Amino acid sequence: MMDLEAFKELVAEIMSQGYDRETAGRYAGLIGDTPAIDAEGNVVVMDKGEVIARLKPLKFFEE
Amino acid sequence: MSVFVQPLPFEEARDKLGSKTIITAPLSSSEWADVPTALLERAFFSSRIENGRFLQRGMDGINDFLAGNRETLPNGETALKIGGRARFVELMREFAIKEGMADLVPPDDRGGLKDITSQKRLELIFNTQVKQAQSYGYRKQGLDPDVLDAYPAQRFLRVIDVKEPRDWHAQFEDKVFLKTSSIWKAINQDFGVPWGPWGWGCGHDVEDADRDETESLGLLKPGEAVTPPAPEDFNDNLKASTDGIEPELIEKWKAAFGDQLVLEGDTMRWKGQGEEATVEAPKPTERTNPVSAALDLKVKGNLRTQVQVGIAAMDEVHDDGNLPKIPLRSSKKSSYGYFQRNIGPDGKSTANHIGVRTSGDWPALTTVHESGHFLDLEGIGSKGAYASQTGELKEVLDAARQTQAIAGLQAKMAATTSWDIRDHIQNYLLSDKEIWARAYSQYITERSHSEPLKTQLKARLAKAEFEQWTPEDFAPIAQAIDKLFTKLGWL
Repeated sequence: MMDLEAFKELVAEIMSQGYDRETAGRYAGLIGDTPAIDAEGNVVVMDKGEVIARLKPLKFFEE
Repeated sequence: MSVFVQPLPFEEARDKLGSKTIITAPLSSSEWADVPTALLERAFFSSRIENGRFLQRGMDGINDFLAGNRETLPNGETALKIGGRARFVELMREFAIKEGMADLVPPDDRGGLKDITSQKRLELIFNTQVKQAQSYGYRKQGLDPDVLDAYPAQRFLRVIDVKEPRDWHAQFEDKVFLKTSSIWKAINQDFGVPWGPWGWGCGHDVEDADRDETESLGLLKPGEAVTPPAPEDFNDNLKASTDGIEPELIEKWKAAFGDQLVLEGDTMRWKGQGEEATVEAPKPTERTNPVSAALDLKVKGNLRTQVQVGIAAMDEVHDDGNLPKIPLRSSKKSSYGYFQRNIGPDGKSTANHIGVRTSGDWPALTTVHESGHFLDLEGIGSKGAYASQTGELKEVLDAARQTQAIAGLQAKMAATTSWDIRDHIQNYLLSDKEIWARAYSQYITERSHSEPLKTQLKARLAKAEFEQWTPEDFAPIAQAIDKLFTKLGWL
Protein backbone atom coordinates (compact mmCIF):
# COMPACT_ATOMS: atom_id res chain seq x y z
CA MET A 1 0.00 0.00 0.00
CA MET A 2 1.69 3.12 -1.21
CA ASP A 3 0.49 6.71 -1.17
CA LEU A 4 1.37 9.42 -3.66
CA GLU A 5 4.33 10.72 -1.68
CA ALA A 6 5.96 7.29 -1.45
CA PHE A 7 5.23 6.73 -5.14
CA LYS A 8 7.00 9.97 -6.03
CA GLU A 9 10.02 8.91 -4.00
CA LEU A 10 10.16 5.64 -5.89
CA VAL A 11 9.88 7.40 -9.26
CA ALA A 12 12.67 9.80 -8.31
CA GLU A 13 14.97 6.96 -7.31
CA ILE A 14 14.34 5.06 -10.54
CA MET A 15 15.09 8.25 -12.49
CA SER A 16 18.38 8.57 -10.60
CA GLN A 17 19.40 5.32 -12.33
CA GLY A 18 19.14 7.13 -15.67
CA TYR A 19 15.56 6.38 -16.75
CA ASP A 20 13.37 9.13 -18.14
CA ARG A 21 10.33 10.38 -16.24
CA GLU A 22 7.78 8.42 -18.26
CA THR A 23 9.62 5.12 -17.99
CA ALA A 24 10.30 5.65 -14.29
CA GLY A 25 6.60 6.36 -13.67
CA ARG A 26 5.62 3.20 -15.50
CA TYR A 27 8.19 1.07 -13.69
CA ALA A 28 7.21 2.51 -10.29
CA GLY A 29 3.61 1.51 -10.96
CA LEU A 30 4.59 -2.00 -12.04
CA ILE A 31 6.82 -2.48 -8.99
CA GLY A 32 4.33 -0.86 -6.62
CA ASP A 33 4.32 -2.36 -3.14
CA THR A 34 5.14 -5.84 -4.47
CA PRO A 35 8.86 -5.67 -5.33
CA ALA A 36 10.41 -8.71 -7.00
CA ILE A 37 14.07 -9.23 -6.16
CA ASP A 38 16.43 -11.50 -8.11
CA ALA A 39 19.39 -13.46 -6.77
CA GLU A 40 21.71 -10.47 -7.30
CA GLY A 41 19.46 -8.15 -5.33
CA ASN A 42 18.23 -6.31 -8.43
CA VAL A 43 14.64 -5.16 -8.60
CA VAL A 44 12.94 -6.97 -11.45
CA VAL A 45 10.28 -5.04 -13.35
CA MET A 46 7.62 -7.29 -14.82
CA ASP A 47 4.67 -6.57 -17.06
CA LYS A 48 2.06 -9.29 -17.66
CA GLY A 49 4.48 -11.95 -16.44
CA GLU A 50 7.37 -10.80 -18.68
CA VAL A 51 10.59 -9.31 -17.34
CA ILE A 52 11.02 -5.90 -18.96
CA ALA A 53 13.85 -4.42 -16.89
CA ARG A 54 16.21 -5.10 -14.02
CA LEU A 55 16.98 -2.11 -11.82
CA LYS A 56 19.97 -1.86 -9.56
CA PRO A 57 19.00 -2.31 -5.87
CA LEU A 58 16.75 0.54 -4.79
CA LYS A 59 17.24 2.28 -1.46
CA PHE A 60 13.46 2.61 -1.35
CA PHE A 61 13.26 -1.13 -0.68
CA GLU A 62 16.38 -1.58 1.43
CA GLU A 63 15.89 -2.83 4.97
CA MET B 1 26.82 21.06 18.21
CA SER B 2 24.91 22.72 15.39
CA VAL B 3 21.44 21.35 14.93
CA PHE B 4 19.84 23.67 12.43
CA VAL B 5 22.00 23.33 9.34
CA GLN B 6 21.53 19.75 8.19
CA PRO B 7 18.55 17.49 8.75
CA LEU B 8 19.55 14.50 10.85
CA PRO B 9 17.18 11.68 9.97
CA PHE B 10 17.65 9.49 12.99
CA GLU B 11 14.67 7.50 14.02
CA GLU B 12 14.68 8.46 17.70
CA ALA B 13 14.23 12.13 16.84
CA ARG B 14 11.31 11.40 14.52
CA ASP B 15 9.75 9.12 17.12
CA LYS B 16 9.83 12.00 19.54
CA LEU B 17 7.90 14.26 17.19
CA GLY B 18 5.55 11.43 16.25
CA SER B 19 4.63 10.90 19.90
CA LYS B 20 2.99 14.30 20.00
CA THR B 21 -0.63 15.27 19.50
CA ILE B 22 -1.66 18.58 17.98
CA ILE B 23 -3.31 20.70 20.64
CA THR B 24 -5.01 23.99 19.92
CA ALA B 25 -5.72 26.41 22.76
CA PRO B 26 -5.91 30.16 23.47
CA LEU B 27 -3.34 29.83 26.31
CA SER B 28 -0.35 32.17 26.54
CA SER B 29 3.17 30.79 26.97
CA SER B 30 3.08 31.41 30.74
CA GLU B 31 -0.27 29.62 30.98
CA TRP B 32 1.12 26.69 29.00
CA ALA B 33 4.02 26.55 31.49
CA ASP B 34 1.53 25.50 34.20
CA VAL B 35 0.50 22.42 32.23
CA PRO B 36 2.08 19.22 33.65
CA THR B 37 5.21 18.01 31.87
CA ALA B 38 3.62 14.69 30.90
CA LEU B 39 1.08 16.59 28.81
CA LEU B 40 3.38 19.38 27.68
CA GLU B 41 5.95 16.94 26.32
CA ARG B 42 3.36 15.19 24.20
CA ALA B 43 1.65 18.21 22.73
CA PHE B 44 2.50 20.01 19.51
CA PHE B 45 1.28 23.50 20.27
CA SER B 46 2.16 27.15 20.03
CA SER B 47 0.89 29.74 22.47
CA ARG B 48 -2.43 31.35 21.54
CA ILE B 49 -2.74 29.29 18.35
CA GLU B 50 -6.18 27.79 17.78
CA ASN B 51 -5.74 26.96 14.11
CA GLY B 52 -5.24 23.19 13.91
CA ARG B 53 -4.41 23.29 10.19
CA PHE B 54 -1.52 25.64 10.90
CA LEU B 55 -0.15 23.38 13.63
CA GLN B 56 -0.55 20.28 11.45
CA ARG B 57 1.34 22.04 8.65
CA GLY B 58 4.07 22.98 11.12
CA MET B 59 4.36 19.46 12.50
CA ASP B 60 4.52 18.01 8.97
CA GLY B 61 7.22 20.53 8.06
CA ILE B 62 9.36 19.65 11.09
CA ASN B 63 8.91 15.96 10.29
CA ASP B 64 9.98 16.57 6.68
CA PHE B 65 13.10 18.32 7.97
CA LEU B 66 13.97 15.60 10.48
CA ALA B 67 13.31 12.83 7.97
CA GLY B 68 15.09 14.59 5.10
CA ASN B 69 11.96 14.00 3.00
CA ARG B 70 12.27 14.97 -0.64
CA GLU B 71 9.80 16.24 -3.22
CA THR B 72 9.73 16.23 -7.00
CA LEU B 73 9.98 19.72 -8.49
CA PRO B 74 8.06 20.76 -11.64
CA ASN B 75 11.28 20.33 -13.65
CA GLY B 76 11.52 16.71 -12.53
CA GLU B 77 14.42 17.27 -10.12
CA THR B 78 14.05 16.32 -6.50
CA ALA B 79 14.87 18.50 -3.53
CA LEU B 80 14.50 18.43 0.24
CA LYS B 81 10.98 19.49 1.16
CA ILE B 82 12.26 21.46 4.13
CA GLY B 83 15.99 21.96 3.79
CA GLY B 84 16.33 24.22 6.81
CA ARG B 85 14.85 26.78 9.12
CA ALA B 86 14.59 29.56 6.54
CA ARG B 87 12.43 27.44 4.23
CA PHE B 88 10.23 26.39 7.16
CA VAL B 89 9.72 30.02 8.14
CA GLU B 90 8.93 31.02 4.55
CA LEU B 91 6.34 28.28 4.02
CA MET B 92 4.69 28.70 7.41
CA ARG B 93 4.45 32.46 6.99
CA GLU B 94 2.76 32.01 3.61
CA PHE B 95 0.37 29.50 5.12
CA ALA B 96 -0.48 31.70 8.12
CA ILE B 97 -1.22 34.63 5.84
CA LYS B 98 -3.44 32.48 3.60
CA GLU B 99 -5.31 31.32 6.70
CA GLY B 100 -5.93 34.93 7.69
CA MET B 101 -3.88 34.61 10.87
CA ALA B 102 -1.87 37.76 10.17
CA ASP B 103 -5.04 39.85 10.39
CA LEU B 104 -5.52 38.78 13.99
CA VAL B 105 -2.21 40.32 15.15
CA PRO B 106 -2.62 43.75 16.78
CA PRO B 107 -0.48 46.44 15.05
CA ASP B 108 1.74 46.92 18.13
CA ASP B 109 2.65 43.22 18.19
CA ARG B 110 3.61 42.88 14.53
CA GLY B 111 7.08 41.53 13.89
CA GLY B 112 7.52 40.36 17.46
CA LEU B 113 7.09 37.05 19.25
CA LYS B 114 3.33 37.51 19.52
CA ASP B 115 3.07 37.71 15.71
CA ILE B 116 2.67 34.19 14.34
CA THR B 117 3.83 35.36 10.90
CA SER B 118 7.04 36.90 12.23
CA GLN B 119 10.45 35.41 11.56
CA LYS B 120 11.23 35.47 15.29
CA ARG B 121 8.16 33.48 16.27
CA LEU B 122 8.41 30.93 13.48
CA GLU B 123 12.12 30.42 14.12
CA LEU B 124 11.34 29.83 17.79
CA ILE B 125 8.80 27.15 16.87
CA PHE B 126 11.27 25.46 14.52
CA ASN B 127 14.20 25.68 16.94
CA THR B 128 12.25 24.36 19.90
CA GLN B 129 10.61 21.45 18.11
CA VAL B 130 13.74 20.36 16.26
CA LYS B 131 15.86 20.72 19.34
CA GLN B 132 13.40 18.74 21.47
CA ALA B 133 13.27 15.91 18.98
CA GLN B 134 17.00 15.79 18.32
CA SER B 135 18.01 16.19 21.95
CA TYR B 136 15.74 13.32 22.90
CA GLY B 137 17.35 11.27 20.12
CA TYR B 138 20.87 12.09 21.31
CA ARG B 139 19.97 11.24 24.88
CA LYS B 140 18.44 7.93 23.90
CA GLN B 141 21.51 7.03 21.88
CA GLY B 142 23.80 8.27 24.66
CA LEU B 143 22.17 5.89 27.15
CA ASP B 144 22.90 2.85 25.02
CA PRO B 145 24.97 0.64 27.41
CA ASP B 146 28.08 0.61 25.19
CA VAL B 147 27.97 4.35 24.54
CA LEU B 148 27.27 5.07 28.20
CA ASP B 149 30.26 2.99 29.28
CA ALA B 150 32.58 4.92 26.94
CA TYR B 151 30.99 8.35 27.55
CA PRO B 152 29.36 8.17 30.98
CA ALA B 153 28.97 11.92 31.55
CA GLN B 154 28.21 15.15 29.75
CA ARG B 155 29.13 18.80 30.08
CA PHE B 156 26.58 21.61 30.20
CA LEU B 157 27.80 24.47 28.09
CA ARG B 158 26.65 27.65 26.42
CA VAL B 159 26.60 27.45 22.63
CA ILE B 160 24.51 30.52 21.77
CA ASP B 161 24.55 33.91 23.51
CA VAL B 162 21.14 35.10 24.61
CA LYS B 163 19.89 38.51 25.71
CA GLU B 164 18.72 37.40 29.13
CA PRO B 165 20.77 34.47 30.47
CA ARG B 166 19.14 32.51 33.28
CA ASP B 167 20.83 32.77 36.68
CA TRP B 168 19.72 29.23 37.38
CA HIS B 169 21.70 27.89 34.44
CA ALA B 170 24.83 29.97 35.07
CA GLN B 171 25.82 27.85 38.07
CA PHE B 172 25.93 24.68 35.93
CA GLU B 173 27.87 26.11 32.99
CA ASP B 174 30.93 24.06 31.97
CA LYS B 175 30.21 21.53 34.73
CA VAL B 176 30.26 17.80 34.06
CA PHE B 177 27.66 15.42 35.53
CA LEU B 178 26.92 11.76 34.96
CA LYS B 179 24.30 11.28 32.24
CA THR B 180 22.31 9.26 34.75
CA SER B 181 22.25 12.07 37.32
CA SER B 182 18.92 13.57 38.32
CA ILE B 183 20.55 17.00 38.02
CA TRP B 184 19.64 17.14 34.33
CA LYS B 185 15.93 17.14 35.05
CA ALA B 186 16.48 19.80 37.69
CA ILE B 187 18.41 22.00 35.24
CA ASN B 188 15.50 21.90 32.80
CA GLN B 189 12.94 23.83 34.81
CA ASP B 190 10.78 24.83 31.84
CA PHE B 191 10.22 21.38 30.36
CA GLY B 192 11.03 19.10 33.32
CA VAL B 193 12.89 16.51 31.22
CA PRO B 194 16.56 15.45 31.26
CA TRP B 195 17.25 16.55 27.69
CA GLY B 196 17.24 19.81 25.78
CA PRO B 197 16.17 22.37 24.96
CA TRP B 198 17.01 23.33 28.51
CA GLY B 199 14.44 26.13 28.61
CA TRP B 200 12.50 28.48 26.34
CA GLY B 201 15.00 30.43 24.26
CA CYS B 202 17.89 28.79 26.11
CA GLY B 203 21.33 28.83 24.48
CA HIS B 204 22.79 25.84 26.33
CA ASP B 205 23.64 22.41 25.06
CA VAL B 206 25.58 19.37 26.24
CA GLU B 207 28.64 17.55 24.99
CA ASP B 208 29.84 14.07 25.89
CA ALA B 209 32.63 13.55 28.44
CA ASP B 210 34.60 10.33 27.98
CA ARG B 211 35.42 7.79 30.65
CA ASP B 212 38.94 9.11 31.32
CA GLU B 213 37.67 12.59 32.01
CA THR B 214 34.74 11.32 34.06
CA GLU B 215 37.02 9.22 36.24
CA SER B 216 39.58 12.02 36.57
CA LEU B 217 36.81 14.28 37.88
CA GLY B 218 35.96 11.65 40.50
CA LEU B 219 32.46 11.05 39.16
CA LEU B 220 33.29 7.36 38.74
CA LYS B 221 35.92 5.08 40.24
CA PRO B 222 38.30 3.53 37.70
CA GLY B 223 36.44 0.82 35.82
CA GLU B 224 33.18 1.44 37.70
CA ALA B 225 30.15 0.38 35.70
CA VAL B 226 27.30 2.77 34.98
CA THR B 227 23.80 1.39 35.00
CA PRO B 228 21.51 2.89 32.34
CA PRO B 229 18.24 4.19 33.74
CA ALA B 230 14.96 2.52 32.82
CA PRO B 231 14.12 3.38 29.21
CA GLU B 232 12.37 6.73 28.88
CA ASP B 233 9.79 5.22 26.63
CA PHE B 234 7.32 7.44 24.82
CA ASN B 235 4.50 5.31 26.11
CA ASP B 236 5.48 5.85 29.74
CA ASN B 237 3.73 8.60 31.66
CA LEU B 238 1.19 9.33 29.00
CA LYS B 239 -1.08 10.50 31.77
CA ALA B 240 -0.61 13.31 34.25
CA SER B 241 -1.92 13.23 37.79
CA THR B 242 -4.41 15.86 38.85
CA ASP B 243 -3.26 15.52 42.47
CA GLY B 244 -2.21 18.84 43.95
CA ILE B 245 -3.53 20.89 41.04
CA GLU B 246 -5.99 23.62 41.96
CA PRO B 247 -9.52 22.75 40.78
CA GLU B 248 -9.79 26.23 39.23
CA LEU B 249 -6.78 25.49 37.05
CA ILE B 250 -8.26 22.18 35.90
CA GLU B 251 -11.52 23.96 35.04
CA LYS B 252 -9.53 26.53 33.05
CA TRP B 253 -7.79 23.77 31.11
CA LYS B 254 -11.08 21.99 30.45
CA ALA B 255 -12.41 25.20 28.95
CA ALA B 256 -9.23 25.89 26.95
CA PHE B 257 -8.63 22.39 25.60
CA GLY B 258 -12.23 21.17 25.27
CA ASP B 259 -12.47 17.51 24.27
CA GLN B 260 -8.77 17.38 23.43
CA LEU B 261 -8.19 16.78 27.15
CA VAL B 262 -9.53 13.58 28.69
CA LEU B 263 -10.01 13.44 32.46
CA GLU B 264 -10.19 9.96 33.95
CA GLY B 265 -10.48 9.78 37.73
CA ASP B 266 -7.42 11.53 39.10
CA THR B 267 -5.48 11.50 35.84
CA MET B 268 -5.63 13.41 32.59
CA ARG B 269 -4.25 12.80 29.11
CA TRP B 270 -4.60 14.03 25.56
CA LYS B 271 -7.36 12.41 23.53
CA GLY B 272 -5.91 9.72 21.29
CA GLN B 273 -2.89 9.04 23.50
CA GLY B 274 -2.67 6.03 25.77
CA GLU B 275 -5.60 4.43 24.01
CA GLU B 276 -3.64 1.89 21.99
CA ALA B 277 -3.09 -0.21 25.07
CA THR B 278 -6.84 -0.68 25.32
CA VAL B 279 -6.90 -2.42 21.90
CA GLU B 280 -6.55 -6.02 22.93
CA ALA B 281 -5.13 -8.64 20.64
CA PRO B 282 -8.19 -10.63 19.57
CA LYS B 283 -8.50 -14.34 20.19
CA PRO B 284 -7.72 -16.43 17.10
CA THR B 285 -10.58 -18.25 15.34
CA GLU B 286 -10.35 -22.03 15.03
CA ARG B 287 -9.63 -22.91 11.38
CA THR B 288 -8.09 -25.78 9.44
CA ASN B 289 -5.74 -23.63 7.36
CA PRO B 290 -5.82 -20.13 8.79
CA VAL B 291 -3.84 -17.25 7.29
CA SER B 292 -2.22 -16.84 10.72
CA ALA B 293 -0.39 -20.16 10.22
CA ALA B 294 1.43 -18.68 7.24
CA LEU B 295 2.71 -15.55 8.95
CA ASP B 296 5.68 -15.62 11.29
CA LEU B 297 5.35 -12.40 13.29
CA LYS B 298 8.63 -10.57 13.78
CA VAL B 299 7.00 -7.46 15.19
CA LYS B 300 6.45 -6.28 18.73
CA GLY B 301 4.63 -3.68 20.79
CA ASN B 302 1.64 -1.85 19.40
CA LEU B 303 2.42 -2.86 15.84
CA ARG B 304 2.19 -6.52 16.88
CA THR B 305 -1.25 -5.87 18.34
CA GLN B 306 -2.33 -4.10 15.16
CA VAL B 307 -1.00 -6.91 12.98
CA GLN B 308 -2.83 -9.43 15.14
CA VAL B 309 -6.05 -7.47 14.65
CA GLY B 310 -5.66 -7.84 10.89
CA ILE B 311 -4.74 -11.51 11.05
CA ALA B 312 -7.57 -12.38 13.43
CA ALA B 313 -10.04 -10.77 11.03
CA MET B 314 -8.71 -12.83 8.10
CA ASP B 315 -8.88 -15.99 10.22
CA GLU B 316 -12.45 -15.13 11.17
CA VAL B 317 -13.52 -14.84 7.53
CA HIS B 318 -11.77 -17.62 5.62
CA ASP B 319 -9.24 -20.45 5.31
CA ASP B 320 -6.43 -20.01 2.83
CA GLY B 321 -5.68 -23.42 1.35
CA ASN B 322 -2.00 -24.03 1.89
CA LEU B 323 0.32 -21.03 2.02
CA PRO B 324 4.08 -21.17 2.64
CA LYS B 325 5.17 -19.55 5.89
CA ILE B 326 6.83 -16.14 5.56
CA PRO B 327 7.98 -13.53 8.07
CA LEU B 328 6.01 -10.36 8.74
CA ARG B 329 8.34 -7.54 9.79
CA SER B 330 8.10 -3.95 10.89
CA SER B 331 9.20 -1.47 8.27
CA LYS B 332 10.57 2.05 8.31
CA LYS B 333 10.09 2.50 4.58
CA SER B 334 7.92 5.22 3.07
CA SER B 335 5.32 2.76 1.83
CA TYR B 336 2.56 1.88 4.32
CA GLY B 337 3.43 -1.74 3.65
CA TYR B 338 4.83 -4.05 1.01
CA PHE B 339 4.93 -7.67 -0.04
CA GLN B 340 8.33 -8.76 -1.29
CA ARG B 341 8.93 -11.81 -3.45
CA ASN B 342 12.01 -13.47 -4.85
CA ILE B 343 12.19 -14.17 -8.53
CA GLY B 344 14.14 -17.07 -9.96
CA PRO B 345 15.91 -17.39 -13.33
CA ASP B 346 12.77 -19.12 -14.67
CA GLY B 347 10.71 -16.02 -13.90
CA LYS B 348 8.79 -17.82 -11.17
CA SER B 349 8.12 -15.91 -7.96
CA THR B 350 8.18 -17.09 -4.38
CA ALA B 351 6.92 -15.07 -1.43
CA ASN B 352 9.68 -13.64 0.74
CA HIS B 353 8.15 -11.45 3.44
CA ILE B 354 5.61 -8.79 4.31
CA GLY B 355 6.60 -5.43 5.80
CA VAL B 356 4.24 -3.12 7.66
CA ARG B 357 5.29 0.42 8.50
CA THR B 358 5.50 1.03 12.23
CA SER B 359 4.31 4.61 11.90
CA GLY B 360 1.60 4.00 9.29
CA ASP B 361 -1.89 5.40 9.70
CA TRP B 362 -3.76 2.07 9.40
CA PRO B 363 -1.40 -0.82 10.22
CA ALA B 364 -4.10 -3.47 10.73
CA LEU B 365 -5.68 -2.65 7.37
CA THR B 366 -2.23 -2.58 5.75
CA THR B 367 -1.53 -6.06 7.15
CA VAL B 368 -4.65 -7.36 5.43
CA HIS B 369 -3.87 -5.49 2.20
CA GLU B 370 -0.35 -6.95 1.94
CA SER B 371 -1.70 -10.39 2.83
CA GLY B 372 -4.02 -9.92 -0.13
CA HIS B 373 -0.95 -9.70 -2.38
CA PHE B 374 0.43 -12.82 -0.67
CA LEU B 375 -2.78 -14.75 -1.39
CA ASP B 376 -2.77 -13.44 -4.96
CA LEU B 377 0.69 -14.96 -5.53
CA GLU B 378 0.63 -18.11 -3.44
CA GLY B 379 -2.94 -18.88 -2.43
CA ILE B 380 -5.19 -18.51 -5.46
CA GLY B 381 -4.52 -20.24 -8.78
CA SER B 382 -1.04 -21.51 -9.64
CA LYS B 383 1.60 -20.83 -7.01
CA GLY B 384 4.29 -18.41 -8.13
CA ALA B 385 2.10 -16.40 -10.51
CA TYR B 386 -0.30 -13.62 -9.62
CA ALA B 387 -3.88 -14.82 -9.94
CA SER B 388 -4.87 -11.23 -10.68
CA GLN B 389 -2.81 -11.51 -13.88
CA THR B 390 -3.75 -15.02 -14.95
CA GLY B 391 -7.53 -14.62 -14.97
CA GLU B 392 -8.56 -16.37 -11.73
CA LEU B 393 -9.75 -13.08 -10.24
CA LYS B 394 -11.55 -11.89 -13.38
CA GLU B 395 -15.03 -11.77 -11.85
CA VAL B 396 -13.82 -9.80 -8.85
CA LEU B 397 -11.87 -7.36 -11.00
CA ASP B 398 -14.73 -6.99 -13.50
CA ALA B 399 -17.06 -6.13 -10.63
CA ALA B 400 -14.54 -3.63 -9.26
CA ARG B 401 -14.17 -1.90 -12.61
CA GLN B 402 -17.92 -1.18 -12.64
CA THR B 403 -17.80 0.76 -9.37
CA GLN B 404 -18.02 4.48 -8.72
CA ALA B 405 -14.73 4.42 -6.86
CA ILE B 406 -12.82 3.18 -9.90
CA ALA B 407 -14.72 5.68 -12.07
CA GLY B 408 -13.70 8.37 -9.57
CA LEU B 409 -10.04 7.43 -9.90
CA GLN B 410 -10.31 7.47 -13.68
CA ALA B 411 -11.93 10.91 -13.60
CA LYS B 412 -9.27 12.21 -11.24
CA MET B 413 -6.60 10.90 -13.58
CA ALA B 414 -8.23 12.52 -16.61
CA ALA B 415 -8.49 15.86 -14.85
CA THR B 416 -4.97 16.13 -13.53
CA THR B 417 -2.00 17.81 -15.18
CA SER B 418 0.42 16.22 -12.71
CA TRP B 419 2.51 13.34 -14.01
CA ASP B 420 2.90 12.02 -10.49
CA ILE B 421 -0.82 11.85 -9.81
CA ARG B 422 -1.55 10.40 -13.25
CA ASP B 423 1.13 7.71 -12.93
CA HIS B 424 0.16 6.87 -9.36
CA ILE B 425 -3.41 6.25 -10.45
CA GLN B 426 -2.89 4.74 -13.90
CA ASN B 427 0.14 2.57 -13.30
CA TYR B 428 -0.40 1.69 -9.67
CA LEU B 429 -3.86 2.22 -8.19
CA LEU B 430 -5.68 0.92 -11.28
CA SER B 431 -3.44 -2.14 -11.73
CA ASP B 432 -5.20 -5.48 -11.25
CA LYS B 433 -2.88 -6.48 -8.41
CA GLU B 434 -3.58 -3.33 -6.47
CA ILE B 435 -7.33 -3.30 -7.05
CA TRP B 436 -7.44 -6.88 -5.77
CA ALA B 437 -5.45 -6.09 -2.61
CA ARG B 438 -7.64 -3.09 -1.80
CA ALA B 439 -10.78 -5.11 -2.47
CA TYR B 440 -9.53 -7.99 -0.32
CA SER B 441 -8.74 -5.68 2.61
CA GLN B 442 -12.22 -4.14 2.41
CA TYR B 443 -13.86 -7.56 2.09
CA ILE B 444 -12.15 -8.77 5.28
CA THR B 445 -13.09 -5.56 7.05
CA GLU B 446 -16.75 -5.84 6.09
CA ARG B 447 -17.14 -9.58 6.62
CA SER B 448 -15.33 -9.71 9.98
CA HIS B 449 -16.47 -8.16 13.24
CA SER B 450 -13.27 -6.19 13.74
CA GLU B 451 -14.09 -2.68 14.95
CA PRO B 452 -10.46 -1.44 14.70
CA LEU B 453 -10.38 -2.52 11.04
CA LYS B 454 -13.69 -0.80 10.32
CA THR B 455 -12.35 2.40 11.90
CA GLN B 456 -9.15 2.22 9.86
CA LEU B 457 -11.04 1.59 6.63
CA LYS B 458 -13.17 4.68 7.26
CA ALA B 459 -10.05 6.72 7.95
CA ARG B 460 -8.43 5.54 4.74
CA LEU B 461 -11.51 6.25 2.67
CA ALA B 462 -11.68 9.74 4.15
CA LYS B 463 -8.02 10.48 3.49
CA ALA B 464 -7.59 8.88 0.08
CA GLU B 465 -10.77 9.45 -1.92
CA PHE B 466 -11.80 6.61 -4.27
CA GLU B 467 -8.98 4.31 -3.07
CA GLN B 468 -11.55 2.26 -1.14
CA TRP B 469 -15.28 1.91 -1.69
CA THR B 470 -18.42 2.97 0.11
CA PRO B 471 -20.30 -0.13 1.43
CA GLU B 472 -22.97 0.22 -1.28
CA ASP B 473 -20.43 0.61 -4.05
CA PHE B 474 -18.49 -2.38 -2.72
CA ALA B 475 -21.41 -4.82 -2.50
CA PRO B 476 -20.97 -6.41 -5.98
CA ILE B 477 -17.24 -6.92 -5.32
CA ALA B 478 -17.95 -8.58 -1.98
CA GLN B 479 -20.38 -10.96 -3.70
CA ALA B 480 -17.78 -11.84 -6.31
CA ILE B 481 -15.22 -12.61 -3.58
CA ASP B 482 -17.81 -14.70 -1.70
CA LYS B 483 -18.28 -16.71 -4.87
CA LEU B 484 -14.54 -17.09 -5.41
CA PHE B 485 -13.81 -18.18 -1.83
CA THR B 486 -16.73 -20.62 -1.88
CA LYS B 487 -15.32 -22.15 -5.06
CA LEU B 488 -11.89 -22.40 -3.41
CA GLY B 489 -13.47 -24.06 -0.36
CA TRP B 490 -12.23 -21.31 1.92
CA LEU B 491 -15.54 -20.28 3.49
